[in-house]
Amino acid sequence: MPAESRFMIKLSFLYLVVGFVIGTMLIISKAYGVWGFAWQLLPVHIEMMLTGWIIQLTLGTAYWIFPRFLEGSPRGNALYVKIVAGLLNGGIMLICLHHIVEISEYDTVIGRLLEVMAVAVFIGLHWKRVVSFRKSP
Amino acid sequence: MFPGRPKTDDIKSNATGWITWIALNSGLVLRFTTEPFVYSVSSGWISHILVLSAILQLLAAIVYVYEMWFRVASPKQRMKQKRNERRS
Repeated sequence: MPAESRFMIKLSFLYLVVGFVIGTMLIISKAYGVWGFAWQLLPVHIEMMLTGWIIQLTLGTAYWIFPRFLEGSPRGNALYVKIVAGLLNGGIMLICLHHIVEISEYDTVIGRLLEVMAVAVFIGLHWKRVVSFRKSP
Repeated sequence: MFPGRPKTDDIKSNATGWITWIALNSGLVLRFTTEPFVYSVSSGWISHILVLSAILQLLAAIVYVYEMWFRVASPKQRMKQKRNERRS
């Protein structure tokens, strides 16, 4: 498993645990009517579980497991997947931070743009790896 | 799919996998049977069961990450892990 995939997958595990901790706090708040501040973290919980956990795990695993090139670098230029990880996590962090300490009103827009750019770079990097090795008749 | 489990291990011997499965699914069942009634039923036990469901799901996530963390490794790291296991 390449280092870039390990980085993304392990980071997704951390998002999973932190996301579940926030989710548990929300349930405790709902059940007992305490910790009202926890509801401010609901968007952070959603961001961590959907983008941080599910999407990051998927992208990291796909980079590792998709068919490799037979010539040259087996998974393409590794710099691009580093850019994917940087953009995706930059976007997630910015969106999460926005809901805790708002830096500017454009945080979420910039964060989402970073995430979309990450997905676009990922698609560009993997487009030619979605192949069949069977010869066409 | 993820590497790292010995081929000799059968499905029954994967304790952490079973703990994850049982905790996650029992948490889910408790969650969807209690959450709709948490505001309508004044009894405290609904709230306690709802919190228990969340704790079970959190436990599932923690045990899952504990199981998977060391399996996300390069071939070199896996060889090193195996060497350390043999030494201990």
